[in-house]
Amino acid sequence: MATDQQPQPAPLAPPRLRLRWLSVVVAVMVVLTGGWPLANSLVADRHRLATGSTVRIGPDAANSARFTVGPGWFEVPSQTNPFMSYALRRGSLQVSVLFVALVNTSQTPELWTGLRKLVRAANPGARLGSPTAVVTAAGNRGLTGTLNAGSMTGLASAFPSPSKGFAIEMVALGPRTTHLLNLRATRQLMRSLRFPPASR
Amino acid sequence: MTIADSIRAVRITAVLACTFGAVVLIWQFVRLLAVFPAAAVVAVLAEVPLLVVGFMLARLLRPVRAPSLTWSGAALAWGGTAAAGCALLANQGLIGLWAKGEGVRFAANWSAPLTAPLNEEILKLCGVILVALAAPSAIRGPVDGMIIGALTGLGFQAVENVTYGLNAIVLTGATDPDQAVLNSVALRVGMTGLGSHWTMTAVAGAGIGYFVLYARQRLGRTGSLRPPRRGVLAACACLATAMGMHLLFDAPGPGLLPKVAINFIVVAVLYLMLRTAFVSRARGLLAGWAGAGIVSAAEARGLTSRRKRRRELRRAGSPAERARLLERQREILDRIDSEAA
Repeated sequence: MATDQQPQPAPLAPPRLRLRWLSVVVAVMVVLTGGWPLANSLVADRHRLATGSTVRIGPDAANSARFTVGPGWFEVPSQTNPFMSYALRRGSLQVSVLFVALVNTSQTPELWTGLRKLVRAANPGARLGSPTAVVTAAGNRGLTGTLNAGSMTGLASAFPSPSKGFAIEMVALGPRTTHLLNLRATRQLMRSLRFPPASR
Repeated sequence: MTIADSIRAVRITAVLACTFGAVVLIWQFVRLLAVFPAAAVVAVLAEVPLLVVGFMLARLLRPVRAPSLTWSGAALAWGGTAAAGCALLANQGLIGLWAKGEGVRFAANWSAPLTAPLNEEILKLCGVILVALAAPSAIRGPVDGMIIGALTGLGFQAVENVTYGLNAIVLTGATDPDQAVLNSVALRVGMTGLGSHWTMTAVAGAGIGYFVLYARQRLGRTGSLRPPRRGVLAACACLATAMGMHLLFDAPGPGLLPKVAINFIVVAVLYLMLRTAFVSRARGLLAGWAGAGIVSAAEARGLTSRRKRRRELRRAGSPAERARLLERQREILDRIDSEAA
């Protein structure tokens, strides 16, 4: 192409302008990536649950379950989504309650094997023992077993819904020193689980 | 500092951010990867067709000629590493704040639509801006910004799909990890893939393209380094639209398909408008150059078509002639890109 016909090339931004924009981009990324987690860490992450209050977990009435908490329980809001999972604490005892949407109704026999793997994924040193049958106060059958993870110990349980379309899993872990107290509180929580008639 | 030094600083920063994002992602999911290796491989492999087809289609959609392979890959990598990794941390922080401030039930419904559009759209857009800063010829106008934005969004979308697949294993109690991943892939690639991240970042990226265009015009005309008002307005409008699309996508309410359709229609309409305008300007330029004797009539007719350019190259009698033709095509296309943007 003839040189005299060449258009003026688009001017390149001078270095200080480029660096200014680079600084803006870096600042925005730092604010979002570090700022939100920092602000979140500065706000208390516990909400007291009233003694005897009933908590619903599940995406809708037909796919949900309820459990009742005793005295001294706190909810951890940042790790709780009532549709899917609750993170609860009672002193040093930590309990996760998980709504498990089963891929199909024939999956209930796989619940314990799956729970064992999930426990290992959440805590590489944790070992879930063999399951034994357990029945809730409302008569729902499930499985429960002991959990050991170094200086921590606890209980895990899985309760398929009567429809077998979903299940509720509970994993409780606390220090060995308060083992008996924790065990009693966890068992109360697990035994309080019930499935509303809509889920049957 | 020279221009080359400043460009190098941008590139090094981008590589560091991508490395950071990748480390965050691996750190967050390494335990699931270790316990469910087969399902994790399924989750990753299932995204490969989306990535390959999406990458090729996005580059093909750039009118006249494809954007640089290097910068297309860089945009994809930013979306899948820096943006996805940083968004993971940013979202956890803001979602936690929503749950603490407004309660867990409100957060369950609204934390995603009130968090992801803000964090994710901005973090993805940072990648488009960095491409514009690191490769001054990669983004010259809205069409370039849109394609680079779409590629950034595509990278983000593919990695997010993998993370959703891994999370699906947990949400199904690990009763059938492979099936859980495949169900997640079917939903996120088959049903929502057409209206997900790539559409939102394409729209936001077009705004950066407008900004670059107006900023360069202003710099060339007046030498001013101040951000052009028209460019700022266009960039903000496009970013707000992208955030709106994202909010709609994540909000509880109407089914997924109408949301996917709306996002797809928004991006398709914007693309057709920008493409038509770009091609029309390119053809106008070529016609003018043909009239001035700068290009031949045949070149003016065929240069905007990839197929016709390839046909012309195939007709070359010798490798030397082919190389000369290729060089000539590139020279004219560079000028078209520069002036039609």
